[in-house]
Amino acid sequence: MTSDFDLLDRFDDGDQDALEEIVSKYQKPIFFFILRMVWDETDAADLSQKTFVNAFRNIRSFDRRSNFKTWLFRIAINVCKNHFRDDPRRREVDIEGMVFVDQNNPLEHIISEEERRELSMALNELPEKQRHTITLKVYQGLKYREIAEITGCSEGTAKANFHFGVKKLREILKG
Amino acid sequence: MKCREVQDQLIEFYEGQLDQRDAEQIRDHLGMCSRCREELSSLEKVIGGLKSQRLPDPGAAFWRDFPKRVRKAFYEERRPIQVPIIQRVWEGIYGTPQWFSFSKPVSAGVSVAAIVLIIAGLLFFKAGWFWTGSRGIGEETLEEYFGGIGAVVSPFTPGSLEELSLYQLDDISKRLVGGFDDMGSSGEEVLKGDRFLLQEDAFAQLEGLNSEELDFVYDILKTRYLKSTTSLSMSKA
Repeated sequence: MTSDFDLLDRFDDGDQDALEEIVSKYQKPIFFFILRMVWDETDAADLSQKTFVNAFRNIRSFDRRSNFKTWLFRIAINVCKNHFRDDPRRREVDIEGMVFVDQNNPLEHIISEEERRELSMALNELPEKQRHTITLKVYQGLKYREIAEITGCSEGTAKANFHFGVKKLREILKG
Repeated sequence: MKCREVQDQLIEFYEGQLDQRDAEQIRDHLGMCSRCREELSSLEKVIGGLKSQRLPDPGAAFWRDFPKRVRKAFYEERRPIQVPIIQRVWEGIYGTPQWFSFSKPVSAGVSVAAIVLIIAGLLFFKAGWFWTGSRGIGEETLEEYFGGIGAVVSPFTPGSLEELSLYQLDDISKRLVGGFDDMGSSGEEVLKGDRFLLQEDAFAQLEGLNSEELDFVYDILKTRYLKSTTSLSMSKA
């Protein structure tokens, strides 16, 4: 598989297909990450597009010391922050209609429907960094080092954010 | 292993991401520590609960078209990076945009004056080079290009800054600072790292102007920002 840096080199050389290849590679993680932030499919599509366009527009500020994926997530987080900053009412979301249970998931039986609903709402109400950290860890499977790069903190802080966040969610489940 | 060490690695253990040796150590510890077993159990419940949730998928057509949509947006809406020039110079002076406070309009006015002087200074000192150059600045017309700069900076005309409402100041701050945020510069560290490159970019763009374009730029700068300054001149000598 072509590496990100090879694709970026091609993009730098004016190869427009390289842009599409990069987007194809990361569109799903970015879209679903953003969807879990904004809980609106149309907004998630628009903000995903904005994330990629901003990334390509500012590609010269990507110094290649970190990996491209973490850089994209960092942009996505900032695009979402701006989205909420422009209109704070957007934070008032109804996530119940968005989340559904995957019946084929072997983990489906782990918690009750009521607990699942509480969990979703609780995750959405965690402090921003804890929410980002848990989302990136659980759904994207990123390492603490990568999450630290994305959220702009140390690896230790990323671990702490995860553990405190999960602790709060556990307490909610325990009732 | 101590409980703290085990609990630090529980999620990786749960996800099967640890190497065999580390996983074995944790397994041994769990066998004799009920507290850590309980920790693992509740972690499974939370992580498993989160993972069992699915979000609506926009469908195959969306994923097929989305890269084209981004491509179109990028190439069609692409503009020369006139706004970042201002932002970059701004950052060169002030560091991260977060430091900037619009609660001090006078300070902001002085800041704008500094930006304007820097731009004018760049043009002045590079003038000799400009007269021999003939490169354009891309497909955008010159008027659009510098109109863009004017649209961003003109509200900052020092004399008028104090008359702006809080709403206007907030709007301006979004336009100036927002661009940085969207670039993924989530904190001071990143911005500092980018600073040199960003300033270099500003130079590169200014160097791309020919003599006719330079005249145009200078007229705009003089009209917009240097009303009271008569000492700068850019004769073609």
